[in-house]
Amino acid sequence: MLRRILTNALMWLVLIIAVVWTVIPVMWMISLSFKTYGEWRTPSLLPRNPTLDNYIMLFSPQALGIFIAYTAILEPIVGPLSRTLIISATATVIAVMIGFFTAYGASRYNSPGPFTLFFTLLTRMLPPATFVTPIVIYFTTLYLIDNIIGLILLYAATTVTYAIWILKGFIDAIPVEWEEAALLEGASPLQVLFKVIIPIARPGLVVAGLFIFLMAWTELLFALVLTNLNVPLSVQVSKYVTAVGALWGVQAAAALLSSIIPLVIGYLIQRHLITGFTFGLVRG
Amino acid sequence: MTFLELQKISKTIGNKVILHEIDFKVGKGEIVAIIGPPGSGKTTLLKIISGLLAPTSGRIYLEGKDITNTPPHERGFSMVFEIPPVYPDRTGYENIAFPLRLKKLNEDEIRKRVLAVADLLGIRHILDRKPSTYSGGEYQRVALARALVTEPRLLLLDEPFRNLDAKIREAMVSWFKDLHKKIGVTIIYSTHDPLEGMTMGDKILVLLKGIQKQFGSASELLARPTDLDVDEFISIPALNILKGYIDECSESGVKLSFKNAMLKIPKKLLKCERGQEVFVAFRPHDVKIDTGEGVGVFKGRIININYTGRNQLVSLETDDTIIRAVVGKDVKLKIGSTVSIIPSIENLRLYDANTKKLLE
Amino acid sequence: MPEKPPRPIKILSSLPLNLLLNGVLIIPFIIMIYLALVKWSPLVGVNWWNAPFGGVVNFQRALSDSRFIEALGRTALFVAIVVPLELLIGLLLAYILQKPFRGKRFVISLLIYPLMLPPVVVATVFYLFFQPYGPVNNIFLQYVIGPRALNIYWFLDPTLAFITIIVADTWQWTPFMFLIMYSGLSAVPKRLIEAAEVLGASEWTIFWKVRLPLIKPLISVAVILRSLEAFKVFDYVYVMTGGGPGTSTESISLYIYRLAILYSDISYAAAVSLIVLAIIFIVSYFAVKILVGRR
Repeated sequence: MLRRILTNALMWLVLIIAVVWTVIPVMWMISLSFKTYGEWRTPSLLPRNPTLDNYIMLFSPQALGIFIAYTAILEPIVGPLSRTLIISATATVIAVMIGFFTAYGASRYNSPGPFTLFFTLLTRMLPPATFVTPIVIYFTTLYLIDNIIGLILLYAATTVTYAIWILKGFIDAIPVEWEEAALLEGASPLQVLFKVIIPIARPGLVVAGLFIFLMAWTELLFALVLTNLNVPLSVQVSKYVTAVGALWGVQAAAALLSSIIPLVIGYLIQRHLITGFTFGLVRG
Repeated sequence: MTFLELQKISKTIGNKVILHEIDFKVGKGEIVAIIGPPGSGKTTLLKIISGLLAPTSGRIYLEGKDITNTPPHERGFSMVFEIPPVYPDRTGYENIAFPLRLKKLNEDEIRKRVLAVADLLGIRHILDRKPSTYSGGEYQRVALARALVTEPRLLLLDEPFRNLDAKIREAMVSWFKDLHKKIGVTIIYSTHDPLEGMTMGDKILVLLKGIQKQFGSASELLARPTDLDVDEFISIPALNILKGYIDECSESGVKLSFKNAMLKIPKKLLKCERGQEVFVAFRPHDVKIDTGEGVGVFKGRIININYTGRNQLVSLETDDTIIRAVVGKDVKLKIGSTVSIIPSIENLRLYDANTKKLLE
Repeated sequence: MPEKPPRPIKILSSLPLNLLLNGVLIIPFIIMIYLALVKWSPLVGVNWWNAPFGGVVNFQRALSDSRFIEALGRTALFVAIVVPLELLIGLLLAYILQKPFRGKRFVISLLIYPLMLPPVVVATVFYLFFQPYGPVNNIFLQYVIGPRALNIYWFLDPTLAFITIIVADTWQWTPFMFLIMYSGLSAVPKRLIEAAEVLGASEWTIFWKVRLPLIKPLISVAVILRSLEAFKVFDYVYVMTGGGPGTSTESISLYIYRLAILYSDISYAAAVSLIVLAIIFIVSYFAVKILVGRR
C-alpha cells in the first residue's frame, strides 16, 4: 500500500517536472521580450517595467534611436514575415496539388508504382546539407537565388513526399465503389476526381497542407543558402542572434513573433487529425 | 417481351474463369435474384450487366438492341453497390441529387425529383442531415433513392441487405417488395442468402463458382433442382444427403438400398439402371419422427435439439451420417433416445452419384 | 474500376511529380556527382561546366581531413546520446500518462508544443537561456554550486557547449518520442493488462513482459526516424554555438554548409556530401535490417 502511494507520488513528481521543464524556457522568453534593455541581462522572472519597445524595434528598428550600430543592418520584420508567408503558402499549394494527383494515381492504379513512392521517401531521409552544394550552383545558374521562386520550388520538392503519403492513406480509405457509382452515373474520370474524391478527402488535404506549411515556415538551412538580402523569417530570426548578438530582448521578441503561426497550425493539425480518418464509415 | 437478355456471357481474368456462359432472359418489371455463395461471381456479373466491366465473350441485349459495347452511363441503368455510394461530406439531399447534377438538370427539376423519391422511400426527414447521423436502414434507403432518382430502366443491387441486422432485413425485404409493386422498375439483385433471394425474386439465377446452375422460379428450384449442388445451396436448414444405390427398377417405382436400410419410392425414372450409385436428398422439413417402435426407414439417436420458436430442429445420428429433421414444438423428444426417421417419399430427390445431376 | 488508368489521370499522376522532383532535386544530384569529380570553386574563374577533371582527388582529401572525420564522429556521438535519452524520457512520460486523470488532454497538448516551434526559435530560446545572466546559471547559483555559477560561460567551453546543443534537441524532440510511445502504449489491449493483473503480476513485470514487447516495432520505427533527423542537426548549432568554440561543436551539416557557402570549396563540399550520403545509406540499411528485420 505504501509502495503504491510512493510510486504514485513519484510519477506525479516526474510529470510536474516535465511540465515545468517544458514551460519555463518559453515563459522566460516571453518575459524577456517585454523587458526594457536595462533589464535584459538580469535573471529576473518578470519584467519590472514591461514595455513594448522590443516589438517596436522589430517592426521599425531605428524608431527608438538606440543601438544604432546594430539596428542599421536590420530589416523591419514585415519584410521577412510577408516573404515567408508567400513562400509557405505557395509551396504548400503546389506540394499538396502535386501530392494529391500522385497519391490518387498511386492509390487507384498503382501509377506511380511503389518504387517511385519509396524513392520519394529518400528526399526526406537524406540530410539537406548534402544537397546544398549542387543546389547553390544550380539555382545560381538559373537565377533562382535570392528570390521567392527558388525557395518555393525547393520547399515544394522536398515536402511533396509528405503530401503523397498522407493523402494516399486518405484516398485508400475511400471505397472504390463510390467512384464506380459516379462513373455509372455518367461522370468522366476527371469529374470523379474533382467532384467526388476531392470533397471527401478534404480533411486529408487540410492536414497535409498544414503540415507542409509548417515545414516551409520553419526551414532554415536552405533559406540561409538561397537568399542574401531577401531573407525569410527563419533566417531573420537567426540574424538577430548571430549577427546582432547583443539585442537580447529583441531576439526574444523576434523568436516569439515567428512562433505564433506555427503554434496555431500545430493546434489546428491536432484538431483535424482526430476528425480525419473515419468518414462515418463505422457501419463498414 | 423480353426486356433484357444475356447470351453466353463469360468473363476470364488472367487464367481464372470468373463467369462461364451466363444466359438468361428478364421480362420487364420482373425481379431477378442472383443467388450464390460469396465469391461465386455475383458482383462481377452485375458489373458486366451495368457496363463497368466488359465481358470476355457473349452479348447483352436490351429490348432487342445489342448493348454489349454501350458505355455504362448510356445504358440507363442504376446500380447500388455493396458499399453504397453515400458520400459522407454532403447531405442526403446532395447525395441523391448528385447524378441529376451530372446530367445538368436545372435546380427546380432536381428538387422536384429528389423530393419525390424521398417521399416514396420515406426519408424526406433526413435529407438535410449528413450520412454520419443515419441509421443502417436510412443509409441504405438514401443509396436506393440515389439510384432511383434517375428513373432507370434497370436497377441493379449488389447484396443490398447484407449489412443489416437479421430483424431489419426481413422488414426491408417485404418493404422492398411493396415498393417494387409501386414503381415497377425491372430489378436484378444479388444475395448470398438463398431464402431471401427466393422470397424476393420472380425468377432466380443460381450461380455457383461462376457457372449458371439453374434459372427459374422459386417453386421450380425447390421442386426440381438441376443438380445436387443447387439443392444443397437452397436448402435451409441443411439438406439431408444419403448415399445409396438403385437395387431394383420396376413399373411401380424404384427400390433403393442403403447401408442398413431399404426404401421403395413410387418414382418413375426415365432411365433406371440397377446398381447405379445415387445420392438421395430430402429436406429436414420433409422428415417425420416416430418415437414409437413403428417401422421407419432409418433408425437414429437424437444427439441435439435446436429450438426455433415454432419448431424444433433435431439432429439424429444414424450409423454413417447425421440426419436433420424439423418437427413441431409440441412433439416431445429426449436427447439420447432412438427414434424412427421417416422421410416423405414424395419429396425425395435422386441424383446420380457421379454427375450429381437430377434423376427424373 | 477500370484496370488501366485513363489518359488524363495517368498524366496528372506522374507528370507533375516527375517534373518537380527531376527538375529540382535529381538534376542537382547528378550535378553533385559531376562536381565531386572535377576541381572547381567559384574562385577559379571558369564556368562550373568547364571545370578541369579531378578524379578521386576530392575523395582522397576527405579521407585525411581531420575536421571532416571529427565532425562525423561528433555528430554520430550526438545522435547516440540524444536518441536514447529522448526515448527513455518519452517512454517514461508515456507510461505515466497511461492513467486517466482530469485535464490529461490539456497536459498532453502542453507537453507537445515544443514540437511545433520552429527550430530557430528553440535555438534562440536556449541561446538566451544559457547566457551568463540567464536562468540556468541563476538556478545553479541558488541550488547547486553557489555564486561561482554566474561565471560559467556555456558557449566558451567545448563540453558545455556540446551539452547545450543536447539540451536544445532534447527539449524539442522528446515530445516526438513521447507521442509515438504514448500512442503505442495506449493501443495495448486492456484485456492483456487485466489478465496479467489477475495473475498477480506487479506493475514492473507488466511493463516489461506485456507492454514493452508489444511496442517494440514502434520503438524501432521511432528510433530510426529520430536518428535520421538528429543526424541532420544544423539549426541549433548554427544559432547557438556557431560550431564553436573553434570547431568543437561543428556538426557534419554545419561543416558541409561552411565548405559550400563560407569557403566556396564547391568540389570538395560535393565530395564530402556524397561520402556522407553513402554512409547514411549503408548505416540505415543495416539498422533497418537489425531493428526491423527480426520478424
